[in-house]
Amino acid sequence: MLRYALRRLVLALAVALTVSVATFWLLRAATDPAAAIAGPDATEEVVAQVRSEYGFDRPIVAQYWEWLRGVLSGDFGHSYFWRTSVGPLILSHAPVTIELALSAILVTILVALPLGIAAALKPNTLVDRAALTIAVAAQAIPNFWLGVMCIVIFAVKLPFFPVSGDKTWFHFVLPAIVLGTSSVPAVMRLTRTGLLEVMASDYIRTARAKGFVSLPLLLRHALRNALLPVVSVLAVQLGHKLGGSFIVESVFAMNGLGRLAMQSVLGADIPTIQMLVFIFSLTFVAMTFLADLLNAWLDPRIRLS
Amino acid sequence: MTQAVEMLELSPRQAMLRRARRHKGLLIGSAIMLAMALVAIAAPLISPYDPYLQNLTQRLMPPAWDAGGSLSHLLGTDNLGRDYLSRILYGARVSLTIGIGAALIGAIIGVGLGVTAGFFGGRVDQAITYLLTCRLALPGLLLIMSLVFLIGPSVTSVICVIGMLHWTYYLVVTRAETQRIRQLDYVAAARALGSSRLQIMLHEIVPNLFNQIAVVFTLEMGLAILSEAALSFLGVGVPPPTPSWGSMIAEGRSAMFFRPWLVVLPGLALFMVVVAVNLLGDGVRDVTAPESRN
Amino acid sequence: MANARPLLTVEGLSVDIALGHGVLHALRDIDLSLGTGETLGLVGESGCGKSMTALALTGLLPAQARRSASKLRLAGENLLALSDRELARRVRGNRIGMIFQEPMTSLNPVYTIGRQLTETMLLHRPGARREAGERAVYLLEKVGLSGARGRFSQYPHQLSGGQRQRVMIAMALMNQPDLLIADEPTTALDVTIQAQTLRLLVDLRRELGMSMILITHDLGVVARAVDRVAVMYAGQVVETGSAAEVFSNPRHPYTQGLLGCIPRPGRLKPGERLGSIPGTVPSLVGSLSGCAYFERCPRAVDDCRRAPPPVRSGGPGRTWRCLEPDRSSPVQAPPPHRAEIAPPGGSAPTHGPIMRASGVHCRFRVRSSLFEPARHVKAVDGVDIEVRRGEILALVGESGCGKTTLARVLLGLQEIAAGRVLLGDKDIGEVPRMLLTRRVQPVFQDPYASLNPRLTIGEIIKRALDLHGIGPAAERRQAVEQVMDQVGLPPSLYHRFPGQLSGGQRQRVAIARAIVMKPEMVVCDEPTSALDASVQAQILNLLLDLRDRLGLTYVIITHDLALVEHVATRVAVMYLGQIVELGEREEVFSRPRHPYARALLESVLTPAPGIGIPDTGLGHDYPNPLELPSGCRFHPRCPFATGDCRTTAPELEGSADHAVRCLRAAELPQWKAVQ
Repeated sequence: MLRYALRRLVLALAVALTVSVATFWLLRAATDPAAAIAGPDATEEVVAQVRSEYGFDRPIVAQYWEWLRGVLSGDFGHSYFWRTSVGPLILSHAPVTIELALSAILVTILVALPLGIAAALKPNTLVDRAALTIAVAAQAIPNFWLGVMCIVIFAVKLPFFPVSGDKTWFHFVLPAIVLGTSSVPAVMRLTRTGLLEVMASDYIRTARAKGFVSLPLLLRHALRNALLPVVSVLAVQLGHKLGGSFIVESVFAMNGLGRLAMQSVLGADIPTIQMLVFIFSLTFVAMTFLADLLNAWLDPRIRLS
Repeated sequence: MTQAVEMLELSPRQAMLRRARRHKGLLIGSAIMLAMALVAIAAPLISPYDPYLQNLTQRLMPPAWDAGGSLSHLLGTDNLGRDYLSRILYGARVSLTIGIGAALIGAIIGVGLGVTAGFFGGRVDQAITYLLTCRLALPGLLLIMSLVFLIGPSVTSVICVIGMLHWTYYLVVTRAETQRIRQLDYVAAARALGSSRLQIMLHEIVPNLFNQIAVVFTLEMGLAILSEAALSFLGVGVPPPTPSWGSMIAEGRSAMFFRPWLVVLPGLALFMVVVAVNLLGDGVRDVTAPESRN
Repeated sequence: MANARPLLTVEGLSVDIALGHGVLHALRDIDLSLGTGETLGLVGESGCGKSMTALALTGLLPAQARRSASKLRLAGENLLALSDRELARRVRGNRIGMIFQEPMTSLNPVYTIGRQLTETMLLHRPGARREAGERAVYLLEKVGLSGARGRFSQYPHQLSGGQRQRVMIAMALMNQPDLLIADEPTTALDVTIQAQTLRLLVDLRRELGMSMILITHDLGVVARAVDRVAVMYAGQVVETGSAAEVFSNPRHPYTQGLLGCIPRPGRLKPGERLGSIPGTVPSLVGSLSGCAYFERCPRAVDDCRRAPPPVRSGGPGRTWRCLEPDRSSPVQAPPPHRAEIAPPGGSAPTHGPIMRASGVHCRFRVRSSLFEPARHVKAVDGVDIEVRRGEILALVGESGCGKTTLARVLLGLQEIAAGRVLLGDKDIGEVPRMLLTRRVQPVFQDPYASLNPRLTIGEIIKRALDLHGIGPAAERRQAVEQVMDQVGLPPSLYHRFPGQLSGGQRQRVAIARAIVMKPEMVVCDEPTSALDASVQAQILNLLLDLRDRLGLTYVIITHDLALVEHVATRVAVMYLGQIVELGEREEVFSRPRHPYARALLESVLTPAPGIGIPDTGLGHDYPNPLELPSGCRFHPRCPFATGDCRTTAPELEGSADHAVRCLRAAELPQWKAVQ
């Protein structure tokens, strides 16, 4: 198992590095950072001056290497837009996003799992059709629209939850619901399909022949097998949420990494964008790694040779 | 199961069409999509007004069914006095164009990579899988946003950027299916007949992929439409004044507490299109591969 | 000994399944009875309803199925009156134990063996934890799993298929059931393991005094392992009786036909065609008037179609459903069509062997788990063999012996790690691909996977001609239709798709595709094992006819020795990548010299009731190809092994007609055929 873990770890790091390379190159290729800093009214000479001052005229490999060295020694770059170091900037915004992502996953679990299980236990009945309809609908609702609708409803008509800011626990309810809803369809379908397959499997038939019925059968034999893949998908979804929360944060005016990212994009602040992408991809890779390990540990076929 | 039954009368295609005719989701989805397509194409003919025409004396009129509305502007007007119905009709053009365009680009990249990985296996497969993992690790929307903004927002840049980053689902599906088919005896038989690798890929494998590709295409179309709407909402998508449902929602925010329809209507339009396209995709999947249905 | 006290009484059992387009009558009016301590064999081809009967007895039918019966009693208790809950609590796993066909997937992969065994008892007697553990160990030992205590903490994936099936048997016996239902318990196992496992079942049953219902499609298994037989066809029981009665004197035409289809050693002269049953099983959807067997019955008359046939009786427990239009005397199976297999070559082969393989080695990289580094399996390890013109060479062996890999080498589809393969006198690697494929063609096992579902039959067969540019394009369709006629496919099928054809028809298409280019050699990989018995015979006869007409040479890969004895001219027995015995068929079958070949022959269960199941002395398990034994590969299982066998690896030695790879071949006692 140790060798497996090491191999996955090396792969994870390699991926993160490749991502950073690709991002670096893409961002530099999409625009001229010197022009962005100098501003729209700057003359050719000013731009050229900015370019040499910041070192944008050096070969791209050298620029990247410098960035990487900085990251490894803890210097995450300097934001032209915010005029401050990127590191502390990110650290101050991170807690909100983390809390939001965790709450969103909680929402997903609480909604998708019961729905998926109920649908699988009674396939092609009302419950199943309702669950699938909910899935289709939830998949089609643009999450920013859902957020805006929540604000319209809850700000004025039903002021139970605050619609902006991130001070208290209450502030996270609506954003978590909106963010969590986006992964409910996928997780619900996965649970449903997984459970349906398991219920049709030979070892469930064996269990039935032994005398197991409905609830004990389900709990003992079916769920454990069916939920194995769901667990790793949830871990990956968590990673996804950490990197994809900016629409929700923008709509609900929360000061998380997502909002930071939005503003950095609009300000063409390449160092911050670069660092954010790197962090997000590292997080995603870490979550996938954890999911792999979890899977390997839970499934004796992988755990034992 | 009975193995030796009388020969079926229907050819696979006839059986599929019969299933299609009975599948409610598929029928509803295709009907809506067809309607949307017609609307998009015929927008200039059926819109009551020019969607760009501002009329500041008639700003923020409510829709016809609300107090203060009138039949001259069925869905009201926005904050610049532009007729909302016309803008919504024109918005369909943006959504559908971008949806189809991005899904097509994604298909070309994803299917190409997937079939190559599945067919050749070994190092080629490992390399392509590595590429897939890297792409999955990227925060997609953030990167799309950044790139579109930096390149310059336009319909073309949105289509290209979304398409070039939305190929993962195609890859996963075609790779898995190619691997499965490659093991089957009819591929071995083709080799034994003397088919070259290219012939096998094109003659035996790819035709058996079309069904799955069609399903993924519809789903990706829905995703592309939603992505574009999100981008436009955030201000980095299709630039104003071109009507995009996403940007219409953003523009409507300032007045949303007393004119909520400004925000509700474009959202409903988005919702309907994506639901239709997903129903279509699910329907195609159920109809072409009934064994995978539960 | 059978006890007259009935344990199970079934009357009028019917099962209907609601489908989209009609009702499937899976079972129609089944009557069965089973005494205490008796074994009943339910035998029939696929789709006849035998598995459905087992499910119906225990209430495990799928949700859309409806069961109805006039009587269903187990030891006096009326099962029809029990709710599903009560059935689960009192009967399933408790009074009726069940064993299913697929040992590889019938155990829950995430729980240990020990837990799955003990929960069977704990489910019905919560709190008997200690007793459950003890009984589990006792049963594991009884089924022959060594190191029973250690097995407790093992997971299913750590056991082989044969071992898992034995765990299943132990599990079914945990609560000392009155009745054991075994649904194809050995079908998925290798031939030698099959015999051992069946023997185990039979012994256990006798020892524990249970009754058993054994469900199988294999007539040999039924004949050897059961007291009484019920033959099923199209959802009905068409004949019942003791094994001796049914096999020596079958009364129903289906039973007669079925017995005539099975190749049995010594029964037919070589070259005689097998009897076969024309037509296919009728659809079970919709109502049935008259006899279900009407379309295929050689004795049918008009009356048979009009009303369901009456149930005739020939004594206690002896029934058959037939109108018997010709009352004169029980009719024998229709005489097989006689024709000789032309001896190979005719005159002495002047061109030499078609193909010759020398010192062939094939290796595969295998990763048993994600943690371990890859290892190599030596699928083919030093094989020398030649294929002579006009012969039918059979490659026999069990799973993992390398026969399929060797076949693919001969087809040019598999790379070799070492050795040479000559086509004629040229190395196969140097022969241009197009030339090789014109001379050597395959027929694969699975008729459902060997045809591209998106192409029509005509396109599939014509593809070869198109690829090779044979004949003017305009005439290719005609050529295809000719070939279709040769293999017995009506020309109307030209535009159909594989999904619209039956298994037998698809296999004919595969054969047509193979011969359309008029090759010299056809390599058939288990050409009939995926087909029903009645269809198997049709395909075998076709292959023999084609050989006579087109002068083909066959290499047939199979595990079915009865088939080999019927069609082959030369036999090569393989074990763990090597050929252990090679010779003329007559020789190998009457005087097998290698212990493995002997065990294989003994493991073939012919339909000869009363003989029982031989103990081949092989032990229970097939070895792991990743860990090859030292010296002679067979020594761990060999009843004759000595110290030398452990250290020295023997060579293949002998004459051109009969060679064997065994150190002790000359010293072994005479072999007596078990007939």
